[in-house]
Amino acid sequence: MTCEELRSVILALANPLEAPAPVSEHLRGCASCQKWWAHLRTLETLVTKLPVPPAPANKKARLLDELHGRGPAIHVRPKLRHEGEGVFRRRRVLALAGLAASVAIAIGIVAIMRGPSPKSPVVKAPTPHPFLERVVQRNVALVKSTTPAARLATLGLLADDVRLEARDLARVASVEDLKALAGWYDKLVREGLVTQAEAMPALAMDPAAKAVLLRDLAGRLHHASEDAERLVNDVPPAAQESMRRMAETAKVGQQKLRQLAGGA
Amino acid sequence: MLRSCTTFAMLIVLAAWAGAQGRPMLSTAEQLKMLQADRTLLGSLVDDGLGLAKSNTPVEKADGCRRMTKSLVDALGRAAGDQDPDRVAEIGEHLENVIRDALAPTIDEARGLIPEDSPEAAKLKLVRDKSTEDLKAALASIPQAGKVGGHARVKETRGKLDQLRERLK
Repeated sequence: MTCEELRSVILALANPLEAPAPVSEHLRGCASCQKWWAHLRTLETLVTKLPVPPAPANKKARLLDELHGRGPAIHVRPKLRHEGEGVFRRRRVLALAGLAASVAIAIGIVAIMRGPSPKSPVVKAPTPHPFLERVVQRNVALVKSTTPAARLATLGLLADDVRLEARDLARVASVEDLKALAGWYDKLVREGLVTQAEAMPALAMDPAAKAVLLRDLAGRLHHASEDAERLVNDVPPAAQESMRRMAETAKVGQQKLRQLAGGA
Repeated sequence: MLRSCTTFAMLIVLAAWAGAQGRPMLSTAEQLKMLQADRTLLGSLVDDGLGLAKSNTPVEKADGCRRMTKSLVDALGRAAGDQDPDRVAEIGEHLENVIRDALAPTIDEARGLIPEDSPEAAKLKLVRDKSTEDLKAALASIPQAGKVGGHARVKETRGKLDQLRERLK
């Protein structure tokens, strides 16, 4: 899905504040779309708070009169196909389909008779490490972030990347790997999200927009905490400590961000 | 009917093409293997990201970028030492992107903002000099020939990194 298609999909959502799975997947890997989505969510939240003036009492009646006055919506009746024409067309289609099937069968027979070509071994291109790629992209996005809000949003996405990696591997990774992931998540939430939110200058952002951003981040941490708690009972005993640590980190971070949002 | 068939056939062709373009899905075992191979680098990059988030001045930001570059240069050296051309190429490509999209523009931006004779300008010069040294070290760690140096992707990445030396001067 291209960035343009994704943005069209988001705009068509009944609730653009909640991204479905395919959209979230693209957003995780695309700094530009994340920034665009963050703007959209802020806008969406602020628009609902705008005062709406009451409509004039006779507005509905006037609109109905106007529509009736314009006459029927369809003026030209579409031309219907003659019965004979349909039969000929169907025969033509069958002939084409038969021809296509014959060509496909002929190609198949030739391919089977020739057998596999010894000169064309399948070379499997090495797959790059997607998690490493995302972490590098987030860091580049942090360099390009010009506002504290953009930095916070990017840190939130980076923390999510680490959490999702831990969730994917919780059942198979070693204790050391999971401890490392839980440690990174803890740093990103405590030293990153919470510290940056606390240090955000009062004039850096509109207080209402700041509250929206912090509540959004807190909501994501709440979801992360619940998710990690659920996983605790579903992973091997050795992995449970790291999952508990991640749940606790997210819970504490969520509480602190909500407090900061309340005072914003 | 003909239109429906044509549309259906085109959709199948497009779906096959799109499927061929996408990256193959990783198995959990492959994902774990990659995490273990990159754990040291990932830990450094998380710290670098936190440092970047805390940077408040153009020089601090440029230095944050340089630290991120250094983490990648160190990982590149380790991959070259392990004789792993695919990892050398992969990390080299990340390094090239970071220098091109983050480090060089940040240094350029800081140069435009800081007065030439200020203490901040001296700090920025130090960051630039260290960055040039790091890039030189990265290029030196990639062999010119052999299993790693002769690899097509490594050669291409090496060439791109070499071009970036001018950009950092």
